[in-house]
Amino acid sequence: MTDVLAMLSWGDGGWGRLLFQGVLVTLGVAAMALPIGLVGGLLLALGERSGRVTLRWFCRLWKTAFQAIPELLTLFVLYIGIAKAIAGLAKLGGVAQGWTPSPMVVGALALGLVFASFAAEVWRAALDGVGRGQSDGARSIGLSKVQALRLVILPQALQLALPGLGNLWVILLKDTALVSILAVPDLMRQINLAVASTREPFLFYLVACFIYIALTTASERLLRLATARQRSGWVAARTERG
Amino acid sequence: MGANLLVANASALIEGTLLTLALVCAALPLAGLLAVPLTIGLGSRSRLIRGAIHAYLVFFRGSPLIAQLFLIYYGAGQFRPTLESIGIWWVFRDAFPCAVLTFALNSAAYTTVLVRGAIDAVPKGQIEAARALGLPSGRITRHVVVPQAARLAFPGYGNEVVLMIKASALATVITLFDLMGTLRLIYSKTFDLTIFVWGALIYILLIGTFRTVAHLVEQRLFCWPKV
Amino acid sequence: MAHRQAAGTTATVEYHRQQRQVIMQFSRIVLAVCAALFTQTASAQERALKIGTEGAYPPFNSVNSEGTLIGLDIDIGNEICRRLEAKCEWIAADFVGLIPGLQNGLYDMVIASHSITPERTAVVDMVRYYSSDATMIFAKDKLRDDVSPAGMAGAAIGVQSGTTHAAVLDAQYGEATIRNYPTQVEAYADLASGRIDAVMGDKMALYDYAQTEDGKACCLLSEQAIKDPVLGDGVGIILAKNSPLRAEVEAALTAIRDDATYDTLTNVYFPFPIW
Repeated sequence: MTDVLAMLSWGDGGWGRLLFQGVLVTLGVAAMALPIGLVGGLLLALGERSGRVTLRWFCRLWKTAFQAIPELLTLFVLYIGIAKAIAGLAKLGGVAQGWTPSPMVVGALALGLVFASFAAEVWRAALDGVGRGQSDGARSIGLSKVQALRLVILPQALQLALPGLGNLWVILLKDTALVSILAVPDLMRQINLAVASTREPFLFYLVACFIYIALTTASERLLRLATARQRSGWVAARTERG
Repeated sequence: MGANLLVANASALIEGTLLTLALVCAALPLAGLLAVPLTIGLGSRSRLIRGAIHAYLVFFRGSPLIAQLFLIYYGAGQFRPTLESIGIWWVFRDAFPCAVLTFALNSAAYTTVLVRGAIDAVPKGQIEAARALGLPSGRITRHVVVPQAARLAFPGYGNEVVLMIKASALATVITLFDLMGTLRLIYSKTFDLTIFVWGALIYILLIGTFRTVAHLVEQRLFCWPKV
Repeated sequence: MAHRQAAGTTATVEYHRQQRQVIMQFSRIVLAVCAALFTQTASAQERALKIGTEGAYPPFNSVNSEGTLIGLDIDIGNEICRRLEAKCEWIAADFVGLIPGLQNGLYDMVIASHSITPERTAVVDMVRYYSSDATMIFAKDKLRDDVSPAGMAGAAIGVQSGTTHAAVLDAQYGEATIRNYPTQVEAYADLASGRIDAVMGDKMALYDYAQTEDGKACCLLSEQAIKDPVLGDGVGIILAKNSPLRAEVEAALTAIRDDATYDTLTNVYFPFPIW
């Protein structure tokens, strides 16, 4: 038992500090992916409802593709693809390679794009839930389409979408473990390094699971609080009805 | 590039796809089997049973699948003597059964929550009415609850299958040469990115086919007139 | 506009043309000076060299509990940087992505115990820094005398994916079951737990594993060497094709060997010469 505590300790020889740094990186990657996912999802959902047929089809295709392709594959394709694209552009421009994409950023981008494709469904349901009455009313008092969206529809849609989006956040937290394969120093990678060094896979992988569970459970609690507070609004009255 | 790459590696890709399908087809039924007692147990009156099942659900739904794979595969390797003495080492010795087990345990957790939610969503009024009519408990479950719960759970379960097909890509981290593993191997030899694009298309094809079939099944099985 | 230009004198047009030429020449000079200054300043300060490595291949490269990369590859790399008066910036990445990363400019060089093979030297430059044979390490009760494809028929052999060893097993050892692992260390784990009968790899790395507690308890290193052109000749530092660094690195290595620093560094890990 003291062995275990020693291995997980904060000080020298213990992996505690390194694991903590890994957790920070994990949260960082998720935090970078979140805005990409939220905004991207909203854009996809809006695009799907647009009047222009090509835009509708493009959004639907994009969404279906990213929903169907395994996250690991998306990660690899973006990692390798972006590096190659930048190198190719650099060669065209005659510039010696200057900028190199960090795997952490690429990982966040990949996860963000996947998040967006699932968030599109949540946003779509939420936008539908707000109902035409709201947009008609907004337009009739003279608001432009964009203003109507920004001031009337989105705030309501956000409240409806919150549980679904919160779920996707929890999934995102778990998916960040995949970026460890690109050697991003997140929690999963630190755990792998610890296992390689100490040859105690059961202990460290169990610890990994517990830490992720702590992160996801905390997120779920916060989410429940957020949705409970919003339940007392009139939106709740509309949704409780059904 | 392009079609040449696909043709040159066709046999490897086919083998990889078959392994992916094998993983999914083995893990899903096992998950379903595990989910039944878990779902029933959630409705139990014993707090111990409910608590234990909740712990299981929190563990497998709260941690990443990749961590679970590493835990079960390499963790079991660490405890080989113990497992051998109980006589179950054979399950953990090869990567395939290990992967199937992990996927099944993971999926069972999600399926349990899904089915439990569907069962709870069947209007209580119907059950009460059935009881008032004198139907025994077993019949109520079979003829009132299950059909409606199944209908509610079906789309969610379809999602579960799709997620399983995608999750199978992780089997590559414990040395299995499913489709994803094959793609990585081919890339490491050719350094040609397009092989991943082909792989993506194969996954889209697999999932698209499944979704179409699932849709047809849903139409056939569940489109009875609403009461 | 065209009407007005046509109405202007040819002298005016000629004047404007000369003005443009002067501006262009001036701009070119300014750009050249800027470029020269830029490269000057870059080398005036201590230059930074980005070195890619893996971090899961003890004793050559691994990560300790402080998160620092350690091992012979790192020691030699740091020594080279010292001789080149540059600052080493070590980046750990997955093995398969190291060469593509170098080609894409992510690293200035890669020191991760890559074997020197014709396939690799066709696309990158390699500078030898030690030699190694390939061999296998067996689980104690599964030791075989013959490590050739015929002798290993029916065995389960683990190897790190993307290595030359993996390529040889894939091409030659059809009768055996090959298991590919993301890192060497995971292959050792499965060897120790009995899932596989043997692991193929560099004699140096396998020797190091055989000296560890786990290694001593579970396994025996084979005396046989495996020869195959695919395995290449020697282990090298990887540089971009025709990189100017190559001459510098070669000179630095020669200097390191000449003043016996090389032996000092390698003796920490191996009691025998490895050049």
